[in-house]
Amino acid sequence: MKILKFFAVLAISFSQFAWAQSVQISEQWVREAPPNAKVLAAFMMIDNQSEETQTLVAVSSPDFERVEIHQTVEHDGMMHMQQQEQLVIAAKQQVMLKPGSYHLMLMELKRPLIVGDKVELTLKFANKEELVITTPVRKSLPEAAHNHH
Amino acid sequence: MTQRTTVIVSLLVFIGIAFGIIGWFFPHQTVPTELQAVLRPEPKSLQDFNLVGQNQTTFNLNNFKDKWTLLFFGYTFCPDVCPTTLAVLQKIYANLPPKLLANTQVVFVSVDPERDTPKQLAKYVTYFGKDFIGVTGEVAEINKLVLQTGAGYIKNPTPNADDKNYQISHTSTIFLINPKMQLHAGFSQPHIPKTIIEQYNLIRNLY
Repeated sequence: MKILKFFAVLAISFSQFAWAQSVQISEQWVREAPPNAKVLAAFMMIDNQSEETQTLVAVSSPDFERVEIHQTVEHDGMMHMQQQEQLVIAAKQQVMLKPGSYHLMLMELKRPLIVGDKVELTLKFANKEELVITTPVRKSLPEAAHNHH
Repeated sequence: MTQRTTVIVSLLVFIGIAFGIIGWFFPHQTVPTELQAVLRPEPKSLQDFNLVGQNQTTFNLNNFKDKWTLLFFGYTFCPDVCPTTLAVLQKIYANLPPKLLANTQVVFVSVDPERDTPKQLAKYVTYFGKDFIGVTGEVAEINKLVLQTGAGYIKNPTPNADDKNYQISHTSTIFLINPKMQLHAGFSQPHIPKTIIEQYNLIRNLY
């Protein structure tokens, strides 16, 4: 019985491991804001290497009361922030969260954050899988990310 | 005069007249191509308004006098557009030739006086530049300045009316006001610091 349980746990951890391998987060960063800012933004590259569509449905962080998925869109010269119920990443596709586009809006900051600090973010997907990532606070986009353009 | 010379002379006269007519109808062709989307055909004089700056000081039309002002509308609860634009302004300010820097000021007007106090605003903008000026005030006074520049903003409704986490959609153009307190130019998205510096330099050289 014990052995069975062991294998069951092993199988589950392996499937989680395999899933984490298929959805990869890179170039993640939280933009440093003025010391009195209440709202920050996080950016990253989400790479779906799996054969299925992956849907990001929620994000949480111990450092913020609330995290929302947003998109900045320009319409008639005005910049609008549109909350997204979900972020769909098609099979074998990447979505870049970057300034002026998709981003995670981090609301009601609980402690001051400066360059060098790290923020833990939990990304929850529609298939109940979760990814926990450590996100450094930076002043600007990591240099490597510029090469994507 | 041979017939051939006559033809050539008439042709030259005709071309001369044609260019004259074109010049008469399109006098703005003198605006350099790189400034056509930026420069206003005619600078627009602005009417007075009464806002509040750091330490409760008055900020009105006179604060634009004898300086060039880079003006931007936003709010401090803005997660993406405002910090991005202020970072662009920080880059521009840091890389302006000294001659231009001497009489250039950066002004950030908060369209969210409900949440942004002048004190908070000062702390917010000076993070991006120690000389940056943050102003806000009564909604009616904010609107006076917003409407004159042709900008706009709108508070987005939240499902719960008491929710303080509302967002504001707003114009993201960086406006340029000349020392005669006239709206002179507007830099719209995308904001590339290098391009804006070049355009601003050109504007100053033409002034």
